[in-house]
Amino acid sequence: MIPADFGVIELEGVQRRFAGTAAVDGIDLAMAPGEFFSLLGPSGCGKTTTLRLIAGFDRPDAGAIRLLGQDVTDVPPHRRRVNTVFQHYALFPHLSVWDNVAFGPRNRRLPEPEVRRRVGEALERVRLGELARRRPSQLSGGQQQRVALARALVNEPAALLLDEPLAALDAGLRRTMQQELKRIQREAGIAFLLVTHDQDEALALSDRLAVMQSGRIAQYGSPREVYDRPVNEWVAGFLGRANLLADPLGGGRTMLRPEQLTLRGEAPHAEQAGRRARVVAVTFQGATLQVVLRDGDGQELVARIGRQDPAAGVRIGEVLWVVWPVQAGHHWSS
Amino acid sequence: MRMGNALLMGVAALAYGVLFAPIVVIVVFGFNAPLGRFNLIWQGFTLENWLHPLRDAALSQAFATSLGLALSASAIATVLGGLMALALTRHRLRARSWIEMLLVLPLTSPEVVLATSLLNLFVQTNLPRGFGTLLIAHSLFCLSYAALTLKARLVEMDGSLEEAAMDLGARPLQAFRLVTLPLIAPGLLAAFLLSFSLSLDDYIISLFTAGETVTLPLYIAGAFQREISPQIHVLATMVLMASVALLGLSVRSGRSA
Repeated sequence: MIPADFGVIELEGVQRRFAGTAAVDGIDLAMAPGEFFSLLGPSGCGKTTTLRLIAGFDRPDAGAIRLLGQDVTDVPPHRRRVNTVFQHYALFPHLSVWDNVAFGPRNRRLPEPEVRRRVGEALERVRLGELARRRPSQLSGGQQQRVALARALVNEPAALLLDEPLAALDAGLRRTMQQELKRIQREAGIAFLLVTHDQDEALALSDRLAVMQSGRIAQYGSPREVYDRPVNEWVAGFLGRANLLADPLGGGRTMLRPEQLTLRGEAPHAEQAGRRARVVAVTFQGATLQVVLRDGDGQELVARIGRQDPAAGVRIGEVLWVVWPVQAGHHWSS
Repeated sequence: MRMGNALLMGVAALAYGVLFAPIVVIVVFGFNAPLGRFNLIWQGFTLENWLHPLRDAALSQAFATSLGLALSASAIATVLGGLMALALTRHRLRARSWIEMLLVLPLTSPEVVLATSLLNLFVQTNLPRGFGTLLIAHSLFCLSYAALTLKARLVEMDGSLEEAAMDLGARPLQAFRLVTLPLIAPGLLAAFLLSFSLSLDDYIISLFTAGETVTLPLYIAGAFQREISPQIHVLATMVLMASVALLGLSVRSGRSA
């Protein structure tokens, strides 16, 4: 159905300015069919504006947007083959769950038996069949989220746009819904474009992601690439804790993730590097412990160790070796 | 404690009594059989007035004029006010705060000032006073109330609902009809009812802008020296019953939305 020789969504030099400042400052992007792609960034980085430009709620000041190879830059939202899951779901309060989901198919004037079949299937897919006659206000947050998904998916869009869909849910429900999103995406075979500020969510769900900063894409890649080989310190820090060590001979810097560090009593051997440092804080984090240390130069190091680790009993004030494999970490030569 | 409760109940009863006594009097005096021209003193019970509510021809004429005026002025004010409220809430207008101030101005300026300036305007532009000028004047002062009522309703409504409708394939007008309109319907009804009661009741502005046309308040105020017929009470009771029914309707539709 979707030609393989171009992207589902393609952005080329897309720019959007509000009152003189660029919210989106020249973005290029291409999403493959069936891909789970995330736009990750802090609030105000332009990720939601990008999503609204793709949906058609807003128009770019420069650049082009293509869906399935066709230029849709000037096409209004109701004629674009994408559907949106809104941050606060935007379910129609005066309509039942069923009528909410049937809204799209009925606008496309599908015959009523076909509408019934599709709506039934969509509600089954999100496991809400038995709540079809309720009003949105009678549903929990998680259930409303599922209705929003069904209402979008029932239209068989070329791509589904999700604007911080899990932000309003509590932590436990968020984890369940993450798995649900992934399952639904795999089953439906539709490309998902997820906008989020939650790096764990983006890393867990995405096939590829783009990290956005101040209206530009800072980095583009698979979750592993972006986490292990961030292009700069800002990206490194946004995706998780990062230790930044200056090269002893000057010039470059090396980034080490906390889980790459081990704590031991004895000095590092040939394939390892290390420093002696004093423990300044130990934080219990459930499955892991976070240990903050400071070396002789005042450089702070953060290590994350398992609870079974021999060093799990460290106390504040102890002096230990912080050790890592020499080939570990990511090196920037500046 | 029990003393305090009793006192509270007493004060509340008194307050409600004072509020509703005039209304009760209106209803009761519709059933009075006055001896002279003035229906001011209770003489005896009769259904005669209710059986012939339109016996007083001049009164009936004024009542019909007022009803027609109130209905058309409210319809105009609700439609225009709705469009203004939409413009003010859905678009980033440069002059928004100015327009909002202009909307509040007619509410805060003394009615007699508004009335004189309207008369000035009509005389200056050589517009013959009559039903037309009444309609203009009434639509004008109802517009502020209607626009502000509807604006409150629209601000409450999540703007992304219309975007969701368009996202799901609805053309802009369809999105308005299928989503916006049903959601603001209780607000439209409220704006209409408010405008209707304001227009039906208006005296000062009507006095300045009516010309030869006689509305119900103008008639009653004029006739008050010569005659107060029980039909006034009957018609007033009918209006009262209609507004209670409409209010009940709006409370019910507001609850279901």
